[in-house]
Amino acid sequence: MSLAGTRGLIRISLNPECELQTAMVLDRVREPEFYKEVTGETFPGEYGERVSARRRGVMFENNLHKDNAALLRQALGPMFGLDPNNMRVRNLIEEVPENDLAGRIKRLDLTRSIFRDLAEGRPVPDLLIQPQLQIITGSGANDFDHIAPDFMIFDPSARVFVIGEEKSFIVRNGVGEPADLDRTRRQAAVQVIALRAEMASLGIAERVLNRAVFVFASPHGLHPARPVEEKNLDAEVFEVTRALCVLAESRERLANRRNHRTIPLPVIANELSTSFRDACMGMCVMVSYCKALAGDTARVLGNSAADLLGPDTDLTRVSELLAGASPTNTREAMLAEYLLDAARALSFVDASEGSIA
Amino acid sequence: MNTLAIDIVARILARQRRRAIPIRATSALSPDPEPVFGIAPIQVVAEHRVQAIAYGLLSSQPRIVISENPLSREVSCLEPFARDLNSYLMTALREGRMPRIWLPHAQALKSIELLGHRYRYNKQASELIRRMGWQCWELAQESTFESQQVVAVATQIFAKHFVTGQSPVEDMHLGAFLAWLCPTIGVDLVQESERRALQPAAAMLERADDDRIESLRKVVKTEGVSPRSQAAKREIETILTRAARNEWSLLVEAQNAYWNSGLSTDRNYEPLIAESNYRIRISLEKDFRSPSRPHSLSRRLASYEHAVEIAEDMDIRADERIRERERRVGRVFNSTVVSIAQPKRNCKPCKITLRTTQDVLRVRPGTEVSTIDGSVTGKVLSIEEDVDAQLIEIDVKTGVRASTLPTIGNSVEWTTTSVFSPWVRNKVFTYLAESTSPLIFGDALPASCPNGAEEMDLLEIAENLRRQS
Repeated sequence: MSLAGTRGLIRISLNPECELQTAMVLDRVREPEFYKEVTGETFPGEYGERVSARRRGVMFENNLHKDNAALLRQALGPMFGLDPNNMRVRNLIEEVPENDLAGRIKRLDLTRSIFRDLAEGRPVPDLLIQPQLQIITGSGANDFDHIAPDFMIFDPSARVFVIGEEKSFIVRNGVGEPADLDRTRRQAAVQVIALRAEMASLGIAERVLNRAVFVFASPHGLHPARPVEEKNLDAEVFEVTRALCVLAESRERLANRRNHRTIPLPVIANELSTSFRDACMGMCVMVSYCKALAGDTARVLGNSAADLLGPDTDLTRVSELLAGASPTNTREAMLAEYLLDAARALSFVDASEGSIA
Repeated sequence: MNTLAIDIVARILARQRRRAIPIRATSALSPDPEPVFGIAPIQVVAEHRVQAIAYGLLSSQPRIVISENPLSREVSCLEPFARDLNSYLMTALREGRMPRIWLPHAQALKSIELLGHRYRYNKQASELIRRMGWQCWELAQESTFESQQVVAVATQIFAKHFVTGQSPVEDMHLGAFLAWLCPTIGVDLVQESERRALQPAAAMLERADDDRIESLRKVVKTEGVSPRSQAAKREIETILTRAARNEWSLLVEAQNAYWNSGLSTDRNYEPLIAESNYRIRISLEKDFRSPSRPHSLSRRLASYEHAVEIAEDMDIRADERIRERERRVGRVFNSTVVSIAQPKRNCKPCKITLRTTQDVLRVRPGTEVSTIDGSVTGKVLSIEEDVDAQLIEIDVKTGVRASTLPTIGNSVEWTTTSVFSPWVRNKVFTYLAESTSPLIFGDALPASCPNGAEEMDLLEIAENLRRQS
């Protein structure tokens, strides 16, 4: 699996300051291979979706889509004032099952014809399964990615489709794992941006709000967890939009760094800045590489420490200040006083020395 | 002084000293009552369905139950676990002692909570499994109370008592945390922590084992009772047993590391044990439905608040490091007794005046205060400025006898924490339940009802008041 498309945008949105990560997205690297090319070693950790998770995801989606998407219609229809028994459903993956580029282009054409019907006031399906969208990531002819929301539901009051995502992880009373929910929301945000761009070409972009519907699994099987909710995605759309800007700026910078030649990314990886943060862990294969580059700075103690001390603050120097070394500037003096006070609260300060015992 | 700065300094020091350091002087968990029960489940990733559980008394070898097909509705494989858990809990209740259940991490706790959610009222499950569901649910609910003493989740306990020299995110891995808590001489600490972090410690199989079991289950499903299918089943059992034993070993290592860490248990745990014991006893004697109505939910929220009050109060009185932090935010203050007004010896009324030079004070008239040992309690009547200090007058409620009352010139430390008796709150909830006011139990807002007074310009009123003053 390459680091591109929605995955890449989500990753950049979580850490927009990491030049290396953005370059990996631009080059659509295969992460374990990239790790080996940069470090010379095989990636030791776990990578990619487990078979068991993928199986469950497929089963969940199949269950939602069977019988003309009966479960989806029951869950979503009432939310938008639609009679579940009379909802018109089009399943584009059934109509065009090919999963190669040609298949995606065909589904994109079908989706766009439905959008034209919408713009011109003609009837459209109430529920569209596996539509295809495109997200533009730059000004070049090839600077785009195909995006496939799990479904889109028509909102008659707003006369627009609403993005929908199906996720098989368990949620109870709207509460699930924060990290899972965050990534899902960012994924939907990418789709909202893509949908808005499509609507803009038809002059009806203003109908697309920053919202999406999420269908998660109940603890009891493959049924949707209730309640199915529509969520506002203002924050996520903002962050993904910023990620797109970062991508565009980085594309140009990377081309300049390569002198507009095809120098492999692993060769120039060590010239690119990194931004090791909590979000990197469990997400990026380069985490151990970047953590080593961070050395003995505040970054390695987590985001809170990086924010308080300054991300590149040398921890060795901080230890010296705590041990009584004389500050060399105002900032060090303030830091020493603040941290020594904290150390006193931990009873770590020698009262006579005024420094760490 | 905020706790973030304390956490960061502690991490810097831990990194420098190459080992985890305690951020408390005493254990919030009372010593393990013997015997102690452990539960270390293995889930199917994404399904959150148990496929193996290692369980039993932590002092013994674990028993292990395996589910060949965790996605099926067949759960009789869990019955040995259900039986032993029930036996442990009921024996503890019968003998009047508090049960103690150890779990390795939050995912294990979630796992048993889901067992509770799925099977507590599941009519298709046996009575024994439903009982297991009930008990698992109640144990998971008990774990949500601050400083409860029944359910010990190792990662949560470690995070409460220690910091390492790595980030809080990395601390969530039990194996990585243990590398810092029990560093091995001659082994690079950071490398060891990173090595241990590569092994899953979240109630799941290693990737290769997980993928292998997926392919073996396909064989079992498609080949019925063939020799190949039987071989696949045996291999599934071997893999799951090994994984469950590994989780169990991690749990035992965590329990031992905690009790060997040097934290003092020389403090009063009785109020915490009494609260926890009372709650778990009530919940395991009768299966009450989870609160869902306004008055019962309010009562539950009040219980959480009460648990926090008790925990904070006990910690301040027992733990010097916590007390030092509270001193810095003014909830605890040092003072000297400068005067005592007590017309009749050993009797109320009794007013004492304290002098304190502490910069930060969270005290105002009406604040309830007590000495750290709890022998003297009172209410603040007034606070006045003195030269480089403040004078606090207290109306003493308890401890007026000469044998307990501090004398003039004594240096005494006071805390502002207090535990509000639940008796008054319970009366409120009882009234709520009986009144069934639509404001509380209904969904619709009441119709607006103007009081007939003439409209007033609030700005004009404010201006008039300002002129008057």
